[in-house]
Amino acid sequence: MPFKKFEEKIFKGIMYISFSLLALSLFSIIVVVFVKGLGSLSFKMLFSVPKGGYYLGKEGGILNAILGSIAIGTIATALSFLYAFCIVFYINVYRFSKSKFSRIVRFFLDILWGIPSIVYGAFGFGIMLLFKIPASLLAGALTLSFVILPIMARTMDETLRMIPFEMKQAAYSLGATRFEISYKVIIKQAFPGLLTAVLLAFGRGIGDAASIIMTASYTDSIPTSLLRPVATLPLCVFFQLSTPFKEVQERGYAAAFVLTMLMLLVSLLARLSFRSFSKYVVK
Amino acid sequence: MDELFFSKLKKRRRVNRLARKLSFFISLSVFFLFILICLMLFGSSFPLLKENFFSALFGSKWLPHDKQFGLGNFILGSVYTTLIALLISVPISLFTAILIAEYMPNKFARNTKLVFDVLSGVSPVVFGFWGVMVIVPLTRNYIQPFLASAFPCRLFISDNKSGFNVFSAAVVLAVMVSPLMVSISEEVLRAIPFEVRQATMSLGSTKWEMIKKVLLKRGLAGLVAAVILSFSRTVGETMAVLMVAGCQIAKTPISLFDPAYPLPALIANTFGETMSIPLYKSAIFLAAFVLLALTLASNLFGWSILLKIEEESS
Repeated sequence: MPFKKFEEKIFKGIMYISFSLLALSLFSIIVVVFVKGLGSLSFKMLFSVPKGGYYLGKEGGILNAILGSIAIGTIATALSFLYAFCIVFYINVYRFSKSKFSRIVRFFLDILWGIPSIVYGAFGFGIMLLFKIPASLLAGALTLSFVILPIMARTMDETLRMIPFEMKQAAYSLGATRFEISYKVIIKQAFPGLLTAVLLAFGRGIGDAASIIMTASYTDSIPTSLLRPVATLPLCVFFQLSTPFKEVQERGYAAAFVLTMLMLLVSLLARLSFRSFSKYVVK
Repeated sequence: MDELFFSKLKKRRRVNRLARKLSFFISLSVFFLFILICLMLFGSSFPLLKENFFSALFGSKWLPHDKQFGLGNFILGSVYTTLIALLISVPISLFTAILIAEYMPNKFARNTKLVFDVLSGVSPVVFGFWGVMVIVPLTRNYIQPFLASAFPCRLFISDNKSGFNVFSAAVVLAVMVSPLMVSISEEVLRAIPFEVRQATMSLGSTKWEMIKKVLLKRGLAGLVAAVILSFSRTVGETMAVLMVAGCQIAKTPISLFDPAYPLPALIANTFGETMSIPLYKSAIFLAAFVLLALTLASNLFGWSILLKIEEESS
């Protein structure tokens, strides 16, 4: 066998090894979460709150964290949707998608995307210190909405840019204003893309812990008020794992399982909905 | 009839103008948000910087009660774990990207990328959880004893036998960042025109020779950009590192198995204690500012390379 054939074989082998190493590690995450999580999952775990003591209460489940995560994720997604919506419509409808202004806004969104979420956390915390606001659901949701804003805005922007210009032209020729075009034509055409953006951002939002560790804090009770601290699944995993008690750690395992399932579900939903809703889009 | 038409038209135009103004200011606020973040972090860290610029950034003494705040060890911890993570992740990601881009059938490649994409979207905390469950025991029981006895040098010997160390953190970070690196490198390779491959193969080269001598050389700049962008993503990663890296104050990590205390972990871990000492607060904000500067600089550098490639190819 000539040397170059031999070399090709060797390197192809290396490629397969690195590919399987990576795939194996990624899959083993899911497997570990499943094995550990399913063992500690029970009705009581999912539908009761921890009893007595911050990390020390041995009884109870993770209902506080599940509800808290959903609450904070929903509020943050709603806030950043409103914000992102205005931005992407301005840069794609009121201005041409390729105009200088639109490009600059996109550039700053990219910069915001690159900032680590712990920096947003510190920023939010700094603002809270400045105005003497205590850690609460509202403060956490606001900080989180800044983290997911660039993700949402850039994903929505990609769909809006793809809308054929002829479609806008046709609407203009009927005498529609830009505002009317936005909500009567473009929203319908871009709906699958917008939905995907919202779901992806929601998925990122419930998984993020660094930005809310300071701003939303943690609590053992179910979220009832916007102005009270709130428990979240990622922080539940983090705090419960660091205790020496077996029963408390079990809660961490269950929280990791629920969190992973929730994120995979949202991610799957985002991809499926894009496919099933794009039936109604004019191509 | 005309009256009604014009009053309606006026109203429609007024609504349109209002929406235009409102959304213009909201778009503009993206820029101000960025400036505000920079100013706030810099302003809050200013008291410490004013006191002693160099010892704050490069000093290794961290004694809050003596008002000594040196971020040196933390910055070192961040850079150390990130570099080891990249050292692990770069070859693996590069070979995986080559396999996906050059050897796999198109449909299979697309599905593989999709699966990677979904799996890498799992919460950072879950990666940390996996690190604590799998990587930490593996390091403690097998990798550390093996390397320490096989190569007894400063790099592999450490008093820290807990398994929570630079190496474990780097492995977790490497797994976290690899899908991103694979996806960018794969796109870089795919962007190289097909004619280049045809021309090389027609000269009688094997596929690997073509990859080694032509594709990797042509795509070098893009691959460098992929590594830089991955660096920026890794250095800001908080939760996974916080759970796995050990996080002991006042230790300079030298060995792979020493505990590290990266910047993001410092910020996340000490927020509750900062209230009583004003300079402490300042030090935490300085850590956030350093992190912001690091990620921003590497992102801008990486993007500028990618932009240049795009301009050249068009």
